[in-house]
Amino acid sequence: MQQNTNENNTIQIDETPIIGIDINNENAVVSYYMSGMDEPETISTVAGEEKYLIPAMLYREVQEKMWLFGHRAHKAAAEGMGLSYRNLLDQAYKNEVIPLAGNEMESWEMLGIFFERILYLPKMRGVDVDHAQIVLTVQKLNMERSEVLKKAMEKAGVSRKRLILTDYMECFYAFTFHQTEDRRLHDVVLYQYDGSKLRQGYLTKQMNTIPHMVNIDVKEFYELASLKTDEEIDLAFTRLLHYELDGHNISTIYLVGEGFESGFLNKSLEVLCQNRKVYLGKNLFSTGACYCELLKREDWKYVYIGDSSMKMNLAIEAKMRGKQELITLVNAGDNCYSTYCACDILLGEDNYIDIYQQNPDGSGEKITSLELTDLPKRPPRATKVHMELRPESGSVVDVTVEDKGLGEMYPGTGKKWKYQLVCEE
Amino acid sequence: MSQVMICSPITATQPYRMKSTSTNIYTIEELCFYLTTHLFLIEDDIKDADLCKWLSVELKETYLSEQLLDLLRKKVSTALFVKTILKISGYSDEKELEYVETQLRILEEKSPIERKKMRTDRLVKARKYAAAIQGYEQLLQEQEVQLDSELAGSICHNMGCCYANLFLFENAKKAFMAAYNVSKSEFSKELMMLSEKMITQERVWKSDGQRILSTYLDLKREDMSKSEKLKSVLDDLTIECRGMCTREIV
Repeated sequence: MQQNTNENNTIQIDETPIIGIDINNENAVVSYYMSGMDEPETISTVAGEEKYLIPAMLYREVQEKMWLFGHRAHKAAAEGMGLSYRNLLDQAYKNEVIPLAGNEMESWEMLGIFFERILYLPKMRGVDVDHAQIVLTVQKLNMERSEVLKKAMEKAGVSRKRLILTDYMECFYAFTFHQTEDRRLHDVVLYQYDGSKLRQGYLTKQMNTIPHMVNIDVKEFYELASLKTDEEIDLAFTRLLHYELDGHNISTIYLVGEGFESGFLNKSLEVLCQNRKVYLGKNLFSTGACYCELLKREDWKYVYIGDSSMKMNLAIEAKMRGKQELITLVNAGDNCYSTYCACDILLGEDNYIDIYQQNPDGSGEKITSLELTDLPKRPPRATKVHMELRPESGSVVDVTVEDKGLGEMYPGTGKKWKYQLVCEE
Repeated sequence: MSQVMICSPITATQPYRMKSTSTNIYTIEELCFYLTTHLFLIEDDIKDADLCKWLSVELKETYLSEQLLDLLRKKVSTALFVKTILKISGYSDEKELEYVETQLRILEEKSPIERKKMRTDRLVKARKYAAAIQGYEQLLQEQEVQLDSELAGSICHNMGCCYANLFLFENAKKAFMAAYNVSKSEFSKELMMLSEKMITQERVWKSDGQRILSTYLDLKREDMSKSEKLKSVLDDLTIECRGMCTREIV
């Protein structure tokens, strides 16, 4: 059975380097992890300094037909006569066609060129990029966006098998649980501020369940966008912190985003630091992306069901090499953009397949019978069907079943049945 | 609850050919299905080193292949050889393994002529009438000297059934006549007469045909006044003919 293509050979994957890339419209951050390292390392564009942000832009000299990226592109764009390309991510999401010196290029291809260029950075530090597991994280994902990112990464030479897509909140979760115990003893909060919108991620955990369930409550605040002076922003943020955090037991607060760089934190800093640790950084998501892959290699006792996670367990009761077993098809908590399951099933006397469905907390248990109507009349065990499960989102899984018959004795009709399994609320 | 089985993901690029039926096999499930459903066609040549090699090279069933090669060296029975395939592949449960082994052992205990006849009878059950007729003819030609009257009679009778299934009533009549001449079976005689009537006229079915079928073949009595119902009676006859072939004659 082929299941979850990102989980191939465990022994081989344990030694595989991991590259975590955080990208938004303005910047990208690249971290990497190699076997033997204590923690992932983030690539600084200036040696010895913590200059992690790489401008997410490309520049092309008209004459030389050469692409520049990052800081060099930024500098060349200010000085040169070539063409600069920004907002690569948004343009790719919108499937725009970009004019290119008398020619044109698909926006996802251009994003692919950017990915190809930034992957030089870990390569220069000795990372085996050609075999590494790439974890790409963005603010928000959906199936259309994931397809664009997969295409762009393929253009950069990263096959779909080597690519894992995730979102910021999943990286926050993975990052948090790879910190020392004292930093996550109680609740953990993340503030992400880009200068206009403030995003809060409030992480809580239930220790009375096995595995321990982790929840991140996400809120967005727009009040800071209309304020002009640092004092006003500081005051508004202070009020917001009191409202959101007073009375809560919080171990750590992480602040990320360029908005916090402006230095407005004054009174709000006092509130932030009340009996808790506060960290300001730029590489939480790219490091967290590496941890997202690392936790699969560990004996992990937490489950986080985020926007990118499968929200249901799917299984089938079947005989496998003579043993009757409940075989997992989809695991709740797995990344829905990497989840894929395909298997061949030999039908018994009945022309249907029972799929067991359950929510991660054990609720919403039900059995869905996939009826294979109009199947030719054949003896028991003379019908093989190919079943594929592809998530449409974390809560919806498309199931396709195709009649394969049984070799020359009972040729398959190729007839297909399509079903949709939806998560029970 | 549906009873399903997860298949092996490997399909052979080069199939293994079952000589007796010229069937190409591509997967372990196809092999097991063939073995369990063609028990009476399985002969000693299934104990084939090429099959072991094919299992290892094409289907990556290395352990199964090694076990079978070991059995080949020990010159074990066909029943044990087949049972090992079904057991190691996880295809059959204990009940089926026992059934397969018993059936194959019964076959092994029969004389070669009886085995051939049973296999040919199976071809009839699988509706392969032409192949079955050929099989019966071969039996009669090859084993003419050794056949006792009862066995020869049942072979001819079953040939008659095959011809009747193919609507070749002239040949059916001859076969039933031969069966009657050899074994003096009244049943063969009745079917011979029925075949003769079938050759001559359709209306037979409206009177005698129905009576004979009802009496001897235990069919339901129906109003056969409409000629379009003739086909359904023919179908009934063919079904019963198949039933006759499977009765224990030998």
